Formats: sequence, structure tokens, C-alpha cells
Amino acid sequence: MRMGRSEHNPLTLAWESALCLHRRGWWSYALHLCHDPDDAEDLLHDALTSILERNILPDEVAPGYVYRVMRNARISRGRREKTRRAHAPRLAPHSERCTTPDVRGFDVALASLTDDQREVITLKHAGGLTLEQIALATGRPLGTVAGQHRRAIESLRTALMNREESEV
Amino acid sequence: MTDEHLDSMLDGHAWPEMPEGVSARLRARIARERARTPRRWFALAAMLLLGLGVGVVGGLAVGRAETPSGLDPSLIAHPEAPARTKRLFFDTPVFASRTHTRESVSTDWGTLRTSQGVEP
Repeated sequence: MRMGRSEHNPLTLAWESALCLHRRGWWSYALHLCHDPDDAEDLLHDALTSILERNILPDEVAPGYVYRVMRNARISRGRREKTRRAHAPRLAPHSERCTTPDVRGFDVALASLTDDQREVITLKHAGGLTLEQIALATGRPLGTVAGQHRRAIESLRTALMNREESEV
Repeated sequence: MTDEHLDSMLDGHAWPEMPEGVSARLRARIARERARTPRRWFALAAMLLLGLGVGVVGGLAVGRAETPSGLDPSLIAHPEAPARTKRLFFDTPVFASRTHTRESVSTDWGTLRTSQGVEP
């Protein structure tokens, strides 16, 4: 089968393989930022478009770069949404298509974390970033990120232990 | 429950997987954006060239409109004025004066000389 010219392009191939490699991390973080699968997909499209316009290869950027672009895109989208909401009524939510993970068991403990703590946990464990890379991706100081991670772990431990005690 | 235990629980946690449809649409977007990029550069270059062309033509038009009143024809018609300046003023279509020709300036030279105090 003859392939299109863009499919041979090293940039396209590199970002496609990066997508395969990091799809779980990117998707988890997009869901964390948007809380809605459709918005998360739009956010990923925005982020990838912005990255591809710069003609950079995945190897040329820091591991947390895509997360940083997603975060910035989310902030920009948030501003646009705020303007849009001011002028138009919000559409009814579509819970049917929503594939956000069920809030059960371990998810209950995760849901008890603050937004910043959950962001750090998502980037570290779903995205596989180090604390230094998370600091770069979120634009927060390393000490702050490390503190948020430590407090998140403490909160999770407490929540899980309370759950075990209540089950006994 | 140790930190390592919690870390391994989090690493092994069922983080949401990207649906296949989303992944396919993102791959299509990657291919489409890459294919579109050269056309964007071409459009940008075309717009720049167009802007440059409009600027040059506009500048020349303004220059043509302003040159006759901005230049003193008596100095251009001065017998010692450089021939190149005369050619530029009278013979180049863009700068050619609509109010002064070689003949009219030559005819009026005596008047201009006396009124503006320019001596040949």
C-alpha cells in the first residue's frame, strides 16, 4: 500500500510514536485538567497543534513539555470558556458518554486529595515524570511540588488506613 | 503502609486509558497538521510579498504625488543643476511633475529667478 507523504515525515512519525508511548499519561492528565473526556480530547488536539506548529521533535524537548503545553492550553481554553459562558447559556452535560473512571476504592482516596496534589500524583504515576520534571511542567518550585507529593502520599495513607479500619 | 507500597499501588493503579477513537483522531491530526504546515509558510510568504508590493507601489504613488510640490522646480531648472536630477524629475514617469515640464520651467525661468532670488 502506498503511504501518503506526511506519513513518511520524521516529525509525524516521532510524534505518533510519542503518542503511543505516553497516551495513558497524556490522557490521564488531560482528564485531570478537564474532568470531561470530550474537553480532554479537544485539549490534546489544541496542545498537539500548538507543538506541531513549532516543528520540534519529541527528543528536542523536556519530558514534561507536552504536559506544560496542555496546562497552558487549558488555561487559555478556560479564559475563552469564561468569555463564552458570559454570553451564552451552558449546554446540558452529557454524562452518558463520559468515561471518567469510577470513584471507588482507591479512587475515593485519590478524590480526597486537593487539585494540586492530584495533579502531582497524576503526573508522577500516570505520566512517569520525576518531581523536577513536574516542577518544570507545572511552573511551580521544586520544593512546593515535593511538599505537595509528600502531603498527597500522607493523605492517601490516612484515607486507605481509615477505609481498612472501617471495613474491619 | 510504607511509601514504597503506596508508590507501587499508585504505579499499578488503573489510570484511565485513552480510547482508541481519541488516539486515532489524534494521529490523524498529527498527520494533517504536518501536511498543512508548508502551506502555512507559503501563505505567510505570499502575504509578506503582497504587503511589500503594496508598500512599494503606495510609496511610489505618494512620492509622485508629493514630489512636484516638494521640489523647487527653479533649482531643478538651474543651468548648473545635475543632469541626472533633471532626468529624474522630468523624464521618470513615477516622479515626473504634473505641474512643471522642461518647457514650462524653462519658459518661466526668468520669473522664478527673480521671485525666488536664484541666480543662474
